[in-house]
Parts: sequence; structure tokens; C-alpha cells
Amino acid sequence: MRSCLPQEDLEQVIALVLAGLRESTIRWFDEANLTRDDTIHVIELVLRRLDKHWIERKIPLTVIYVAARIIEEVVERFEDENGKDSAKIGTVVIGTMSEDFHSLGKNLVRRTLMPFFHVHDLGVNVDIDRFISCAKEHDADIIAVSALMMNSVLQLQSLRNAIDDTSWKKKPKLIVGGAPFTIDSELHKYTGADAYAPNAIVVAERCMALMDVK
Amino acid sequence: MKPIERVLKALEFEEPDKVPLWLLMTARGATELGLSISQYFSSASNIVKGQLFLQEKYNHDCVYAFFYAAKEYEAFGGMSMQKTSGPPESGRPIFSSAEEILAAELPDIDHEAFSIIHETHRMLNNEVSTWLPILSNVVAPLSLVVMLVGFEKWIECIIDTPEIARQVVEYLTDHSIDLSNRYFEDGVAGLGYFNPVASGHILKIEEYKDIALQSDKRYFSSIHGLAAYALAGSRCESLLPTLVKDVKARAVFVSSQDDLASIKKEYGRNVVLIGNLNNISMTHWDEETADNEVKNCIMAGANGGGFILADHHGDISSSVPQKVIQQIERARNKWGTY
Repeated sequence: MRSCLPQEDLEQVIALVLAGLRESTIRWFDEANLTRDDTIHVIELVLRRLDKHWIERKIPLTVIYVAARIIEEVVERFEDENGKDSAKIGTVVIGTMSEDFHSLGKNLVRRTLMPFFHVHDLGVNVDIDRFISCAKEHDADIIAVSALMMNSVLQLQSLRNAIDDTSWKKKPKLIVGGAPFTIDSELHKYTGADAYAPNAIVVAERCMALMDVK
Repeated sequence: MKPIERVLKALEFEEPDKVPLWLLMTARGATELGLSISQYFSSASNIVKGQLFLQEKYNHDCVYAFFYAAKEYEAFGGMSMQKTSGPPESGRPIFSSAEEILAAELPDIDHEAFSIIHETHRMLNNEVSTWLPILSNVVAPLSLVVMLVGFEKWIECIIDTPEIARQVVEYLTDHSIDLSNRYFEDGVAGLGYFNPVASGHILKIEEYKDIALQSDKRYFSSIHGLAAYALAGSRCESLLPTLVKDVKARAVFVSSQDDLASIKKEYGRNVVLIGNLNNISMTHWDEETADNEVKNCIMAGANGGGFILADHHGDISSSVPQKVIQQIERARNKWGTY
């Protein structure tokens, strides 16, 4: 997806989000009056730049948190004015694993997925049966699980098995993320997950890849 | 050389007979004794038994009297969640906002939640203090609030109302100091000062300085023993200049993601470095990997003393294979003899 917006304008809005300037960012989007495709394109660019800065250790979690809040507001305002878009590219069920009450990472993921996917947020402390039944109810393409503690990571293989054991034609893909996966980029292989996201910013991109969306 | 002599020598930036090795294991004691997690953590004698068993089995240089971080949350009235395969964790937050903490009474250092810890320290002190250092942990105020109000609310408070965040951290500092000093009175030789929220991974350095630097300075100048700054596996590089110059931490846990060799080069004479084995990756290492990882750490950090080999977080989980832990000890002897 390409935008006809000049690079200079794109750089300006990226800088506003990175600086955490909520009101100025909202004003920029209001004045730009973008189409849905252009709005999504700009958000994608912002997320990519955040990811780049994160990888280069230029920004911490607090910057990402503020950026995600701004993005959420931009998307909500867009949808208030233009209606909930039925053209979202898929459905994601998200939650933290049972006995895990750490909501921060999961909420960041929800915000970064919102522009692109229908998101069903099950909250924290979600057991395997709830993930499975919600995925069935909404015909989910993806189950996204956030796990902060190693105990939660160790339960992911059981969720994988539960997905595999369903008789559904379209089985949802499993994507995982959380601090242990950031500290060990090989860890997801031992959970049976289809993909992992080293941070909340790239989850949307990884989910699109799982669905073969270019 | 006795383990305690080995460790003291390293802390003085001298080379002992071999690199000290701390295998920091909490709930693994339960697994190895064949007890459930809740049984294990219900009695001081179980912890003592577990730690002595682990020390003898893996032949490392400390006993780790730490229970679990959520003990401090319990002292504030929280209800920890028991796990089948790991230490209990904090459950639902106790306070609905950070501001509420300012109106709460701080728990007494002899609170029921801590009395079992004091008992464990004292029992270990009677058993081993002449030859083994007893280690434990406290949670730094900046990170303790995560368990008290929840991570998201705490991050929002730091971002939106930093003046309240600063007050809360300052308010909790006396508790951390008093608890630490009581642990030293119990016979603890060294503490981990757990503060993952301070990491450059979570906060901008300006945010850390604004909210928690004064508290950390006060903590380190008020405790009557050695505490190592621990970021729970997060990188320390961006924070290290401040920790050395302003906080005056004498020891720091280094992440496996940090460049240990360059940290050693720049700070190796000012601060004792602890680490930097990856406790998460360990769960799927084989013996050869364990050998290489230990070798790499020792090559990067051990020269001239001032280095203790350990995992970068402060907990080797029960899911790390026994053969990997045994290989870590063998590799310490192979590569880490001065």
C-alpha cells in the first residue's frame, strides 16, 4: 500500500508521535483528512519507525506506550467518523495466559492491531478453553498470547495442542510475545507457536505475514 | 579456598582461585526435594534444606535465601498466586491507583510475610555463614509499585503524573532500606536490589533520574551491607554510568544482551559485574552450549577479579535441565580457574 502523501508530511507525523504529542498528532490527522488506506499506511509507517528505534535501543517502553495510546485515539476517531470498517483484514483473539495478570503488553498489542484487525480482547488470566471457544465463536484467524512469566510460557504448548486437536477447517495461527521471547529469540520454537513478536509494535506486521497479506 | 573467601576476593577486585559461581535457584529447591511449591515455601526449614542440598549437589558459591518477589506484595495485603511449576506470583493489584499507596501504612519489617524469611536467614546463618555467603533480594520501590497497582497503571502514572510517581517511590524507600538492614542483621551477606523498571528498556534515562534516582541514592547510602543492582535480565548499559557515578552501586547484574567485555573494560575496576548467562535460553541449552556460554562470560568478564558468574536475572527455573546446571559448574572449573 503506497500513499500519495509527501515524505516531508509523513516525517512530520512520525516525529509528532515519537515525541508523544497527542493533540498535535490528532490535529495533523484531522487536517490531512486521509482516506482509510492512507490512514492505515501512515500508521504502518509510524509503527515501523517505532520498531526501528526500539531495535536500535533509542526508545524505551514509555515512548511506545504513549505512541500506542495516540494511535488508538486516531483509529477510534477515524472509525467514529467513518463507521467501523468491515474491510479489516482478519480477526485476532488476544489475551494473557491463565494465572498471568500482566496486561500492559497485551494492551499495547491490542492498540497496534486495531487499525488492521478485528480484535477480541479476552483480558488477563485466560485459560485455554476460553481462547479456543472465542476463536471458534469469531472464526478467528489468529490467537495472540502475551506471556510475561516463564510459567505462562510453559503453558503455550498445551494451547498449541488444543488448536491442533480441533476439527475446524480453518485453524487459527498462534502468535506469542512477551519479555521471555525478547530475551530469548529462539524460545517461541519450543512453544509450538507459528510466530512470535519481539515487541508489541511488530505484532500487526507479523499477523499480516501469518495471513499471507502483503 | 572456601566459597566465602572466593566471593570476598572477587568483590575486592582481586583474582581468587577460580571465578565465583552463583547458581541462583528458588523454586528448584522444591523440585529437587520432591515437595510441592506451596509445601516448600511454607517452612523455613524446607528452604534451608533445599538450598543446602542445591549447594552440595551443584557445588557453587552461595546459598540463596530468597523466597519470591511477591512476598513484599503479600506484606502490603496482596494474595499471591500459587503455581505448580514456579514460585508464587503477585495476583491482582492491591491499590487502584499509585496515589492510594501514599495513604497506606507501610508494612512492618517483622510482618508475618517476612518472619519466615528472617527465620530462614537466621537458620542459614547458624549453619553456613563461616564458609558460604547467604544471598537474598529486596524489590526496589520503583519496581515494587508494579505489583501494588499493576504495570499499566504504574507506567501511566510515570508518564502522566511524574510528581506523584516520585512521591510514591520516595515514600516506599524507607521500607526498602529498613527491610534490607534487617536482612543484613539476620546474617545475609549480599542482597539483590531488584529494579527492572529502571532499565533503559522500560524508562528513558531522564524519567529514571526524575522519579527514582534520589531514592536509589538514598537506598545505597543507607544500607549496612552489599547490594547488587539487578535489572532482572534487562540491559544495564545505558544506566550503568548513573549507577556507578551517582547511585554508587558496588555491584551490578549484567544482561546477556549487554556487551560484557566492553562493560568490563569501562567499569570493571569500579563495579563488580555479575552475570551474564541467559536464564531463559538455559531451558533449551545442551551441555556444549552451556560450556560455550560459560566460557564466553568468563573470557569477557573475569580478568582481574570483580566478576561473579551467575544468570543475568537471579532465578534458574526448574525447567532448566540438571545436566545443563552441572555443565555450568564444570565449565566454571574448566575455564574459570585463575
